[in-house]
Amino acid sequence: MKEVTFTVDGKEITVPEGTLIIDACEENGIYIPRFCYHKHLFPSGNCRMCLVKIEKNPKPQPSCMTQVSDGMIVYTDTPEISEMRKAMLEFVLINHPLDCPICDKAGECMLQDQYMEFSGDKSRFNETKVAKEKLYHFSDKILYDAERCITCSRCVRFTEEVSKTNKLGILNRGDTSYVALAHGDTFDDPYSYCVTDICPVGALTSKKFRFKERVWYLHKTESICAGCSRGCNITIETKDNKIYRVRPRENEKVNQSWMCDFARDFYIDPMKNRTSGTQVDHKNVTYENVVGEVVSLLKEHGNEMTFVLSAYATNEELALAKQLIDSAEVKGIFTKPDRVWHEGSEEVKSDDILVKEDKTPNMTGIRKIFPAAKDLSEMIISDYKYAFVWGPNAAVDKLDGLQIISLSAMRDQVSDKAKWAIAGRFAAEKHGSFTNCDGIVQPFRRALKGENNYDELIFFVGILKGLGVEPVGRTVEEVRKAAE
Amino acid sequence: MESTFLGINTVHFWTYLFLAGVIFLFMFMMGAVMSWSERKQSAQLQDRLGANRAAIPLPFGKKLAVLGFINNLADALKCLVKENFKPQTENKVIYNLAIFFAFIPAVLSVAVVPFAGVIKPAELFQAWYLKWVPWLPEYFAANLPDFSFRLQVANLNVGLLFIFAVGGINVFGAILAGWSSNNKFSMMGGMRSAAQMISYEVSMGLALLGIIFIYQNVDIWNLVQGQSELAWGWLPKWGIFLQPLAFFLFLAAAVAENKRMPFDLPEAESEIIAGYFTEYSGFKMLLFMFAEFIEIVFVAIMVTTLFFGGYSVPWLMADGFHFPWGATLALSHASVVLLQVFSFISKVFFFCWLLQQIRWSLPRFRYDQLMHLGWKILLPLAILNLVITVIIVALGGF
Amino acid sequence: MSYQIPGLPDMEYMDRQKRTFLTQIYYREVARGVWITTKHFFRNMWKWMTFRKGGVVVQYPEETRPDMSPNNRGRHVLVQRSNGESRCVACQMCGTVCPAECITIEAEESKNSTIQRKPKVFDIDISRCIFCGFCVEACPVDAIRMLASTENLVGYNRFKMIYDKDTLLNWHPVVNDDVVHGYNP
Repeated sequence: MKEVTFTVDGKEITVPEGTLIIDACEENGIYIPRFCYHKHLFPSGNCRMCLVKIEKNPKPQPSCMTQVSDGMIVYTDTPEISEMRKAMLEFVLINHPLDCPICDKAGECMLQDQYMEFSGDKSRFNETKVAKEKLYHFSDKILYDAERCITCSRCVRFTEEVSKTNKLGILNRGDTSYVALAHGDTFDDPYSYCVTDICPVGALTSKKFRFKERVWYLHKTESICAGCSRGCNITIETKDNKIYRVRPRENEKVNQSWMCDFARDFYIDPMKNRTSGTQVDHKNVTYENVVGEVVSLLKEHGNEMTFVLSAYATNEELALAKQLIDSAEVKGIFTKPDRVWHEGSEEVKSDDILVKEDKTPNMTGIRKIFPAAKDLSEMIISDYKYAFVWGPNAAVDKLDGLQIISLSAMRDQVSDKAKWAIAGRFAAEKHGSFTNCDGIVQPFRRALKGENNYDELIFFVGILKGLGVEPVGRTVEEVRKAAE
Repeated sequence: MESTFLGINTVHFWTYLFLAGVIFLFMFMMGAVMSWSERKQSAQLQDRLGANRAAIPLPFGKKLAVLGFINNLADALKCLVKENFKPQTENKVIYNLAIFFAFIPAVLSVAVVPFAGVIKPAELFQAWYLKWVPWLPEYFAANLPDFSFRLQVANLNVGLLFIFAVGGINVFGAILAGWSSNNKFSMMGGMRSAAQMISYEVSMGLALLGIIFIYQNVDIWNLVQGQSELAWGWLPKWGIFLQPLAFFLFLAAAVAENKRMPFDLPEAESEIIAGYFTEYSGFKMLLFMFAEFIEIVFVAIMVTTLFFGGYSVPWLMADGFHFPWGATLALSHASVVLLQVFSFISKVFFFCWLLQQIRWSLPRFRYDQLMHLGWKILLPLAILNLVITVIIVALGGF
Repeated sequence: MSYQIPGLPDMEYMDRQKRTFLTQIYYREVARGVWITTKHFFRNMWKWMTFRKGGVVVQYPEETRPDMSPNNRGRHVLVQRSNGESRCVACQMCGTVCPAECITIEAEESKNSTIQRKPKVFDIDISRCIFCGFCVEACPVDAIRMLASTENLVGYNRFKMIYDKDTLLNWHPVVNDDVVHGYNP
């Protein structure tokens, strides 16, 4: 692609042709304030916050609508521009209510941030503000506050361009304009929570998160969604070992800035049916005892055992599992989908945007590390006496008559039936990496403590040590390094 | 008549055992009083009220606080029931031994200090206010008419050296505690205390050499006897009059030996928590504190004995007052003994008070100031004092 | 006493006395210090012996100072609306700014749609509070104030020293203009 060179605030910048000024500046560390412009939406240029001065142009130009051209000289911080930004903020704030104390967006609000950075003036507006609908229930997920809305149209463009439901539109003109649904309609969009993320102010808020916690208290952990094999980049926001909300993280290659509604709840709700501790014959025993028993089982009956892999496992755990299977000479290696789509569930089976039909995060990783692994349905029971079942959702009738070792984060029929049960960890409770449907390996960090559950990686290290084999690594970093 | 017990005269044995018990008890009581006055005196001089909250509830909503003495009881109780924390990596034997190294010398040194002059029991009980005592007057008059003893537990003729020797053990307490606790702060405290105590012991010893030269003695009994005499017929030959410089040097060095403010760097809490006894808790910590309080009393006793005539009262002879202007006031033997004991104890009390007052008035020295004072000021002055004293004594002064 | 910094003229501490040998051996200075404290000691002892109060301190829970400033930062109170509810909107500003982290707030939806947000839980741990008054300054709706009075801020049970919303609201039986007295930044 052709490259063009232009100057911003006396700094020479070379970018591909067709780049917008606002993007070119941001890539080079100059932040231009904006409300309506979003990287993954088509620019609309209605907020006039991103005006910059371009030499030989009589008037300031919106940087989100102007493409870079060769030899262009741009100023982003002249007195004229900062005066203009102040004026724009004053216009925006004329009808914007002082709701910050009761607004969920406070603390991550673009209007707050930009007012503090670029204006800070006192309001000169003495007249009455225009009163509008404060509690407009878009759906049972989304609440709209028309007074706070600055009609930037980001949410409208989102439904037009990304989710393609075309549910939202802007009604009326001037200071009475607001975002609305068609009469009698509800905003039942599988990506509807995304509008609360892209809303620059607190007009669109999530009912689930409403008044739960102030955002500046939340501890943010970078993670990867385990809801389907897409592997959306997410941020898990926690406080006191509890997940408050899950938000998408920008990744150009995978999910851009979006994620589906189901996955946001997926991280908060599924924890109800969890395993806990370690059991032998349904009696609580110490972790060390169970590790010892599993080691002796593998030593004596390795060739009578089948190993059922979990698609929730991280790549590092799979590497250790491979070492374990090789050293104990386990006979059969099978795999299974840990979660499948059910008819009638709220979840989308699959679509063209993000959601994939494979509802497990790391099936690609299994295929890469265990190319020989077959599906559990192909197993012949009579070949085996023992089954090491890793992860939930193994078909219990396929395991009839086998002695089961269960290592699972979720409770199900198999973990209830198991003779040896070890409570594993969920994706939010461990470090690791997933390989998504496109083969992109994405690392993630641990967000929750997982106090009553045991890290599978450490479990495998313990077993390998019990078998007298030096594990390739004892931490995620070491295993990752050894794999390279 | 002369019965013996383990080769010792029975009467002597019981007398000195009784005396040792009394003085031991006296030191402990004084330790308790010092820990009380630490609170109350400091409060008074800082315009506060001091400890008064701990109290024994009485009926009708009254409370018995006894001027804050109950706080001491509460303290002792608290230290007894507290968790006896032990550092995991300590050297157990030395860790526990250190307390005794710190505590025992403080009590032991008092043994050679005379609390009053010679007591003749047979004569003592003749006083009208002691005649009510049953059995004893008759026993002494009938069986031991000539028996007399000194109010001093151990009659050592090297008393002053004994005090130095025993006092020197003290430093081991701090060093061993600091070392065996296996804690950086403890170690620092122990090292600081070692450096400080050894530095100041030098000046202290040199300051006292002047006293030894003047009275030509190291026996404490004889030192006090020497101080009871009069110079020019009217001035008591107290150490403070003959050795004023040595008194000030000794006072400073003794406070430093005691590790009290302004020389409390070994346990400077704002720098190294509690210094060498950081890792001691409960009653072990209390024993360290108690040893410190008893040491204050001991410093006061030393100052009294060496510079303020010990038990001696000016112009008081064995048979009563002989004032320099010729008047006399005859007193019974019991009155003289009681006056001597009272004189001794009131002097000790005064110096305890003074030491507390200094402790609560001054800020802590910087470490270089401490060393500067010890080596560059006290030591040269002590040597100067010694040289002058030796010259005067050699020329036959006093 | 002076010391040289390269490139600067000789500097001298203007307010520092010259240190002579007499000050260096400390005895005179120690005596001066002890003399001052001794004066105080005997003055207070004399007062005590004549049955008067020696120290200047106040025996707090039983006594209170009569000369307390009207701007004193004392007990926290929550200001009420006319219907007796708290004026607080649970915005967490006070909890965020609190250096002792002694304020716990949980928000809930209010039935009044113009208020929207109200506190479900509003606890101040008075045993942790350092009475800095930041919460009063931070409050955007003037819901939390501090009275000048410091009466009965003590307790034998630390759990009883956590003041909940009702305790903080029931602080003054009569609501009039007078209630604005107290710390008012």
